[in-house]
Amino acid sequence: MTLLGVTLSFIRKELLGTLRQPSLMLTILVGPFIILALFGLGYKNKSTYPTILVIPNWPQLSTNISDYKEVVKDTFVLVRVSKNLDEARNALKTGEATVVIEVKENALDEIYAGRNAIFPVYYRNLNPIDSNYIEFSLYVYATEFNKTLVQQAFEASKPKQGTTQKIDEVTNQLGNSMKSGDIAGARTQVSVLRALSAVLVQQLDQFYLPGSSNAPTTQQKLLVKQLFDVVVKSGTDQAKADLVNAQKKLDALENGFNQNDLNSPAQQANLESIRTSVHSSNEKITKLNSIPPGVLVEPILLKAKNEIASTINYINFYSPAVIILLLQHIAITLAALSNVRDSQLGTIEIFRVGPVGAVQLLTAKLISFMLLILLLGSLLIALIIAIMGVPSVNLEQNWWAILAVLAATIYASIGLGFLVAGLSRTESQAVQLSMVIMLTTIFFSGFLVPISQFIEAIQYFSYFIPTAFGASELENLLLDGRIFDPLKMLILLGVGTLYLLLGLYLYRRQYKVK
Amino acid sequence: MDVQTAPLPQSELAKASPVIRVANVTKQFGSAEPIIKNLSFEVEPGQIFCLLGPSGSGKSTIMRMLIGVYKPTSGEVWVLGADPDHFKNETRARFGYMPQQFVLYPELSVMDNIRLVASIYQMKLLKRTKKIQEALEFVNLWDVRKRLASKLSGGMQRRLNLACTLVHKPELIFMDEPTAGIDPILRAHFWERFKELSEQGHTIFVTTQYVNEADYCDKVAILSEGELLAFGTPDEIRQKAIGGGIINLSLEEISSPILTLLKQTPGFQNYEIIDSQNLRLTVENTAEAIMEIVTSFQEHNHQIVSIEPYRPDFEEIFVRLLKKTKK
Repeated sequence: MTLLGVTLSFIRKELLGTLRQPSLMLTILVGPFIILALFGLGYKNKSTYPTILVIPNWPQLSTNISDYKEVVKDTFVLVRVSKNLDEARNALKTGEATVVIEVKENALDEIYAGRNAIFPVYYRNLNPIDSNYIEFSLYVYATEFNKTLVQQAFEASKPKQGTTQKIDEVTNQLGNSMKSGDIAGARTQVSVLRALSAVLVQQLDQFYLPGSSNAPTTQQKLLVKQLFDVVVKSGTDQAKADLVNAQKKLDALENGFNQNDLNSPAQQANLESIRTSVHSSNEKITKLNSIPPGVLVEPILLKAKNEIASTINYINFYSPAVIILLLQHIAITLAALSNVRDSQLGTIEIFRVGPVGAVQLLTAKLISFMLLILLLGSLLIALIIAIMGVPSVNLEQNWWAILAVLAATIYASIGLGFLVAGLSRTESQAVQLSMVIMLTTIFFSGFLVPISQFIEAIQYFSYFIPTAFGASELENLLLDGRIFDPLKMLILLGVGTLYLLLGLYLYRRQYKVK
Repeated sequence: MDVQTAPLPQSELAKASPVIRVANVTKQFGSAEPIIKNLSFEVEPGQIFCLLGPSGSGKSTIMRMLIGVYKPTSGEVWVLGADPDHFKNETRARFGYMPQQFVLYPELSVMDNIRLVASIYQMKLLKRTKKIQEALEFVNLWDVRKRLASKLSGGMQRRLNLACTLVHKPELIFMDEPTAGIDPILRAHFWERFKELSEQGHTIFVTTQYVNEADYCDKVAILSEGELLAFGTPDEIRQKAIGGGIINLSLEEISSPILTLLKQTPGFQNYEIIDSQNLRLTVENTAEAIMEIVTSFQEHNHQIVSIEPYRPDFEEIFVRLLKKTKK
């Protein structure tokens, strides 16, 4: 009864204290929305860097930007083309450009000398994330650049369509010569056909197809080696077999010619066989030619599909984490300032002289703060779902789990707040400590950098930060409908209880008879 | 005289009825000079007990020992029959404490503050409304019960402190310098309230540095540098300080025969000439001396312009006591 009465009084006190400060209400409720809305509207999700291209000082190369728009694009926004490297690098200092790409004039020499041609890239950026992004973009850019060159090579290595057409033409001419009794013409056409088919076989041998190596790599085995064998490689082999068959029939024809058999039914059968083989070979070669070079260069593409049950974007992803971070901060500051303020105001004197113990008092404060912040958290979640369109997968089934995550996070945060109060003598000390915790939370709770990117010790350290659990579990629940791991929840409750006990121990020092 | 100079046996203390009993208490923080030195006194039920002394004399330290914040270095303290070091909640609910400063929440209204304190004192939700009203009416704050504490004047804040102390109807009320820093009219008003509370049966333990407030009290303990200078009713203390009564005598002219005649008054101790017509006599018994002087002056045909007992204020008493102690 005492606890209920004291708790109700504290709920009333905190509610009235908050309601009487409209600016505080506005900050707590509207603040996160303004932040998230500005973030959503303002974040372009793509970094671009002003870039200067430094080209060799050859008279035939112009410095007109439009001539290079197709070469330098996307992440790197071409702002100037220069033939002077020093001037370009100086532009990095003045801020005119962030990146300078130098095209070396001896690049081709290097390649033919068996070395990679290296294009130096200079950039000036303090932000390590930006720096990583620039370097990654350069890697992608170089890969794309090389891919274009390889595509050109593939295109050039394809069997020539003209050769197959010529074979068709000459085969028809051979039939006409045989009909008309022109044995000399027929002999010539047989020779031409033999030469053309030999050229075509050679072209087919030189044509590289993915998966066509004799010693397949692990990648080929893992991927679609069999598919290549059946669909592609067997196609070239069949085309070659057709051409070899045609060559045999040409030999048979020539033998007949040598016996003055120009147009016997047997010779007509040979001619028909040649036609069939040439037709079959041409069909297959046409099919091979129709494969775009882009596919040949990148025969395998990985197509990713996120199995998360909702659409993920930056607002959706960050909203639950922002709410949890906000609730943690409010809980810590509310609890810490409440106790410190009681000491500073002197209210603690009334409490400690009265018939209420430190445990009762902190329990009443804990319950009242928890209920109030839980209410605030529920309101904020309802608002981000209703107004900002943040997904809420299986909300009807999982609402209790959302409340449980909020409650556990708030519980541990209030415990942390009591601990902060025990370590602070003044309100400013408590605020400073709360800010330190806020900073620690931003860095080590997965808010800024995923926890998995830290060493193991730091990953364990994150268990002591309520937001680390709360943010990830609220994201899982709202965005993917996944229920929290009960063990993690128990760990957080244990950590929260540890904070509470430490806070209580420090608080009770004020109750000690001196 | 209730002043105890010799140590009281513990068994005797436990059996005794006083609301407060302090016996041979010394309080020392670390190795510094003791703040309280071998202090003993008792407070009877229904009394207004005043602990009087200048700043730093140890008043608040004693009060803090009585409410269980400090523990005596030596000696014994009993409040409501219990050792403050081991107060149970039942005992704590029987007394109220009014700190010197305003310690309530400025962002809450008068009503909300007193409700919070009522809940701390385990007053039931439904039953406390009447008592809250009584407490606020007692300090004339009922009409401003909805006003924020931050919007109250200093005097009103002090009255709110008092209302919060009284809301649970404590038997014993501790007030640490309740009138410090407030205007004389409000001070007088406060003392009227204390008197009413005393008449209702509450025991009041109050500290003050306004020496003249001692006259409002039933018992006074005067403290200086942690030592008890005097203890008793205000009149007893006056008696002790002056060593008798004082008479103001106004004559047409002060002459040697008159002074000789005055010296022959029974119980005469000394005289002090104020000016050519006025003098102040110290005698053992004021009433008897006045009668004697009037009779002997008539017999010797001397004219008296006026003669009356003089009641020195407590400031003067305090100074005299200090002087005596220093001597």
